[in-house]
Amino acid sequence: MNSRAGTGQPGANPWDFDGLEALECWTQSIRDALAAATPPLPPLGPAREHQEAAARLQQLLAEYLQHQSTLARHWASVQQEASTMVQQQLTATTASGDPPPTPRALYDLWIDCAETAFGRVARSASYAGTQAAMVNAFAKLRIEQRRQLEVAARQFDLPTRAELDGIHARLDTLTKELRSLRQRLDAGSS
Amino acid sequence: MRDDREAPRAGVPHGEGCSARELVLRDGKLTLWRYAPLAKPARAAPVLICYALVNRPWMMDLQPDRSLIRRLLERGLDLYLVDWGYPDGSDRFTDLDDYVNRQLDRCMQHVLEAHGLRSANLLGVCQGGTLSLCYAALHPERVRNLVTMVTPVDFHTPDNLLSLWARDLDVDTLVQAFGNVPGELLNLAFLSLMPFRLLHQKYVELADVAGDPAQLENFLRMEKWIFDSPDQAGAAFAQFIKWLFQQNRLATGSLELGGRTVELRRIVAPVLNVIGLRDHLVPPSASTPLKGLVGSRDYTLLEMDVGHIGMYVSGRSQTQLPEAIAAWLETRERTTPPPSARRRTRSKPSKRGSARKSTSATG
Repeated sequence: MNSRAGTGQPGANPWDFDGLEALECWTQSIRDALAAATPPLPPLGPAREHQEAAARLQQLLAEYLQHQSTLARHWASVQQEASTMVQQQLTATTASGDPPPTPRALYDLWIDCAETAFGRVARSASYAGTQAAMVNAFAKLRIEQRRQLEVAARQFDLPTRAELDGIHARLDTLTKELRSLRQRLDAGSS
Repeated sequence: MRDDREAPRAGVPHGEGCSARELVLRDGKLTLWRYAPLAKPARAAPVLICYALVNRPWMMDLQPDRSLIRRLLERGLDLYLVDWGYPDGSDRFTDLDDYVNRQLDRCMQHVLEAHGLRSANLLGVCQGGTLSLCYAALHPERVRNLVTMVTPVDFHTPDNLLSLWARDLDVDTLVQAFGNVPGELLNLAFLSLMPFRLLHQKYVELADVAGDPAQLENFLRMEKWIFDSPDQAGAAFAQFIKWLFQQNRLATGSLELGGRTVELRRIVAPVLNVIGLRDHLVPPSASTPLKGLVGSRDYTLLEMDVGHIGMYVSGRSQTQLPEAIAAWLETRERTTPPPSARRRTRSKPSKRGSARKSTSATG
C-alpha cells in the first residue's frame, strides 16, 4: 500500500492515494474468494444445474469487477494528469508574481484541468474499450441474475419478464399484421 | 391504432412547456400537439416538430423567455409537436420503422389532412432530426421544407465521443438485460461526456444563484428537464446504436426501414441545417456532411456559436434562430414549388463544405 498521500513528503503525489489501491485490493480479494469458491469438479447430482448457475454468476461478477478495476485505473490517471496540470499552472502564476488564486478560482482551475485530462483519456481506444467491456459485462451479469430470479419465481408460479416479453412480442406481431390488413382494406375501399 | 384516439383538449399541462397547445391526436403513447397562435399567420405551411426520443420535448418551450416554440409562434408559424411519450414494457419491440413510418407518418398525415395540403414543413431536432431525415428520404412527397437542428448524420467523425464509446457496446445483450433501456442509464452516459463540469461544477455554481429566486427557478426547471428521461424502446434503441452509431448506415446509404433503403439523396426539398459550433453531444462534424448527402440543391447551413443545450435556451438562439427559421421558410414558400410540382434536380451528392453561414439555394 502506498501511504505517501497527505504526508507532506517531497515529491508525494496527492492523487496517488490509498483509496484506489484499497479498491483494487478489495476487488482482487473478491475475485480470489470467488475463484476459491468455484468447485474444482463439475457439479453433480440433483442440484447440479443450480450449482452451475451459481458458478456462472460468480464468474460474471468477477469479470465485471475486473473491468471496473481497469476503468478505475483510467480515472486515477485522469486525476494524476489534472493534478500535474494544476501544479504547473500554479507554479507559472507564482513565478510571474501574480497573487495566488482565490479558492473559487483554484476550484475552477481544477475543473478545467480535470476536463482537459479526461477529454484526452476518454478519447483513447483503451478507455472506450474498457468502458464498453464493463457495460457488456454488467449486462451479462444482470441477465444471469434475472435468469436465476425467474427460476425462483417459477417455483412459486409467479409470472416472469421472459413470459411478459413473449406476450409483448406476440402482441407486437399481431398489431403489425392487423395494421397491414387495415391498410390493404383501406386501399381496396378507396 | 384508431381505437386509442382521444378528443382534442386545450391548455398547458403542468410542468410540460409554457405555451398553450391543443391535443389533436393520440395513438397509444404518441401525442400530437398543435400550438395556439400568438401572431398573424405567416405565409408558410404548418411546421411539424419532431423531437428526439431520448428526452422530453419541453426544452423547446421551457419558460416564456426561453422558448424557441414561443419565438416561432410570435413569427406567425403554425406549429405541431410530436410527443413520443414514455415507453413501457409493452413497447419493448417498437422499432425505428414504427417510429418513422408509422408514428411520425401518422402525425404528418394528420397535419396534411387538417390543412388540406399534400406537403408540410418538417423540423427535426437532435435525434428527431435523424428520424426526420429518414422520413424525408422515404416520403419526400410529404416534406415541403426540411429543417434539421443539432442533427447527427455522419456518426463516425473522429470527434464524436458518444460514437466512440458506443462502438464496442454489445447492444443486443444490453437490451436483453434491460428490455427497454433506462433513461437514467442514457443520462449517465451524456453526463459522463463532461463529468467534472456536469456532475460537480454545475452544482457548485448553483451557490452563486441561490439567492436569486428567478435564476434558481431557471436552474431547477432545467434540472427537471435533464433528468426527465424516458426509457428507450429496446428494439429501436438497439437499431439506432447498431445501424447508426456502429455501422453509420445513414451516411453510407445502407440503412433500411420497413424494407426500403433510406437514400438521403432522395431528399430534394430545401434543407436548412442548424448546428451548434460548441455542441459536445452532436459535434458540428457529425452534421455538416448532410450537404453532400442530400439530393436538394437548396441547402443552407446555419452555424450558431452555442452548445447543444444553448441551442434551445441561450439568449443568442432566442433572438437569432427563430427569426432565421421563419425567414427561411417564408422565402421558400414564395420561391420553391411544393414537392408535388417538383422534379428531382440532382441525383449525385455534391462536394462537402461548411461556411459560417453558407447557402447553395437555387430556388
